[in-house]
Amino acid sequence: MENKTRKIFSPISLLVLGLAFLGIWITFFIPQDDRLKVSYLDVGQGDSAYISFPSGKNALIDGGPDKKVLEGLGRNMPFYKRKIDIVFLSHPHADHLVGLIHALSRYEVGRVVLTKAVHSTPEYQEFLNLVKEKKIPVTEGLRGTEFDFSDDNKIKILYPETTLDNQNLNNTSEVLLLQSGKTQFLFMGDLEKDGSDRLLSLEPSLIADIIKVPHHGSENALNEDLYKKSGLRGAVISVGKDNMYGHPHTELLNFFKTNSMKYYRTDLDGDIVFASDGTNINTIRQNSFLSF
Amino acid sequence: MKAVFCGIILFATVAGVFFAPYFSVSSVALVALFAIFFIISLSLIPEKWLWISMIAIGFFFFGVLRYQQYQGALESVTYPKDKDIKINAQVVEPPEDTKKATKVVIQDQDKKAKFLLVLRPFSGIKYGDYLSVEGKAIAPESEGLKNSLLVKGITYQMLFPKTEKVKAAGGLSLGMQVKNILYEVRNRFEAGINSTFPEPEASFLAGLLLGIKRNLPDWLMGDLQKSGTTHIIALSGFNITVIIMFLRMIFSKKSAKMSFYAPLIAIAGFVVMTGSQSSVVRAGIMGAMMMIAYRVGRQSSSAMAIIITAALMILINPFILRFDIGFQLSFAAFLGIIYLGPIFKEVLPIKSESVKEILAMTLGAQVMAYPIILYYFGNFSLVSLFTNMIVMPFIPFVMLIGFISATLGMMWPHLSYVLSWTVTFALKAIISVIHFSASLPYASLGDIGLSPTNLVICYVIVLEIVFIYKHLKKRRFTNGK
Repeated sequence: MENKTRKIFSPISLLVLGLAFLGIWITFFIPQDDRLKVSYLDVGQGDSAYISFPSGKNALIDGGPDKKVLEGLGRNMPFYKRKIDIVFLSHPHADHLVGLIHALSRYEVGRVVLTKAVHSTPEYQEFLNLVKEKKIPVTEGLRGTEFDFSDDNKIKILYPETTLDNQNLNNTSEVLLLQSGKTQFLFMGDLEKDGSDRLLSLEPSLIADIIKVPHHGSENALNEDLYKKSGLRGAVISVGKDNMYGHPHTELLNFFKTNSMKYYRTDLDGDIVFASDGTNINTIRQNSFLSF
Repeated sequence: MKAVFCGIILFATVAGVFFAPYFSVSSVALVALFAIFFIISLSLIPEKWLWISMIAIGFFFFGVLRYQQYQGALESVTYPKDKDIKINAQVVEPPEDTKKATKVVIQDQDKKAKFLLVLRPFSGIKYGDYLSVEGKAIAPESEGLKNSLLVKGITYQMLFPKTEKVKAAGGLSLGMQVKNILYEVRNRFEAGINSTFPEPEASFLAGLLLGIKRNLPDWLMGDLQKSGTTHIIALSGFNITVIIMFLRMIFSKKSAKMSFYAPLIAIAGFVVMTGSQSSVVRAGIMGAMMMIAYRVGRQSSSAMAIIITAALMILINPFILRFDIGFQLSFAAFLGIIYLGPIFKEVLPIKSESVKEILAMTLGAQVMAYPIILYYFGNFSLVSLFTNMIVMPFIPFVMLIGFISATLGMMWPHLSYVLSWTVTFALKAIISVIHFSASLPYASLGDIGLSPTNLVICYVIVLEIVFIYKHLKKRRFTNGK
């Protein structure tokens, strides 16, 4: 009687033990790639980028329009990680916001950074309620604020310089500059032309290696001055397949082509992942949902 | 003889419900038809069969009448077409968030008709709320949608109406309070899964344990269809079958009592956990009946128990016979276990008794359910058998450990970590197998929808196989003697 029961249980318990062992092994003993990784997630028509720092900390900038960001996180975060240290919301439009609601409800979030731009949609209310309910500390995103992630990694907020009210929401977008050693990544939110003109007047010597093209490459956000900076190595357009807005605009793509600038599109390339060791930036292919 | 008689009556009633939509005649005409049959049968058939057929015909029309009465009651309430109406209503089903919208079922407080509201997400509407709704009442046009709503007693739809919350939920009836608690349990549990597992593993496990498939990414849904494994995440009846078989297998060697009560408790738990949607309740009742029948011990009696239960459920809501895919599948799966399971068990060349048993039962369930899946989803998967053979043995294990770690995750996340990694790996492996087999060339042949006739033919073939097998067995038995 006893023996038979043991027979039934043994393969199952062996399997459990084996898999648990494998999990622990991968978690603790496989050497981690200790470079900074910036993943522009394929979230459809919207914006989202996940950053993992060499110190093990991580950050999420915007969340895209729906739950798709969760899959993006599943692909780019180690499976055992259930915490996002800092979440940035560039501005409260749904295509940047809704995914964050889902991320906030599923992951432990250390801090939320947002502007005081007012938006009265139910989505934004839900987001603010969730932040309050989970008692997540909030920092207002204003020019001059800096977040340090050790090993010479930081995120600086370049824009807006004051609390902006009653404006085109796109122009209230937080602009973030991620510095890792000598390499720099610029996140433009949905800043339109007048906004980016203002940014350039504030920051005349702005340079970056990789720029996230503002407003999904739309026409009203095209500012050629932004790309004429020296040292720009690539531009990322976060955009959905066959979107109804006609993003990205052909004028922008032609501009990139005539200036022979390298650009990436999330609708064609999927997740776009860069790794930086402080001096060099490489692209990494990441198309499998099996990420360890 | 008694069993045959009982079977004929049940069959006649169910057939009546099934063919009811074709009888658009009034009840008077039915009675007339009945009388004609009566006179003809008097002169043609021997006396014993005369009475049986008389009674069968009677029950047939009883089924027809029940169906038409039910439909009539539902459709008697109408609203003006192409005109905005304003109604006061209460939310009577827990709201459900889909990818792009929130679906809410409300009941008009004056006319008692049920509506399906499609609202923008994050509307903040909760179960039991009182709403004032203004918009166009649309009767669903497509047959499929209409029928799937009719099963739930819903006759109208409203798309993005003006909605205002008049009064928050309060003073709920006892039934609604219980339902609210059950629904809370399901939500908590889903939240436990979501905060423990990454995507897409979380939504896959939610499908497996709770039958929630709305969060599954489209590519995974497509892969499941192509590899013929949709049944493992979507169909509550199937999950219940798996739970029963798994627990019976574990406990069968230990004690007869445990192997009876453990599955029963598990079924009850499963029904509670999934928020007691009526389709799950129905599958649960059938599962429980099967357990009781097993206890009594005879194959024929377990089949009879399930058929009687099914017939009763059909009489209570006649629409489930034709339009509740979950009901049809779980019924087919149980029949498959009872009749085909033992055949597979003898045929399969596997040594280990317990592995053989569970494999035989699941195979039996699948073979029986497959024509229905084919009929509805019109997708014939060539890799189905292969994928299922690999994936199925892991499913009960993943369900069990996943259940435990999500429960722990609900209470204390850190405790569930190592356990949840185990499940994450198993889920990753399962999803990889499904993804791989779906990506094989010619994995599935689309558009092989079965016609209703072919569906019937499929089942006749299965029936013939059972008969042939039984006949052969009998002959072998007598020869051996």
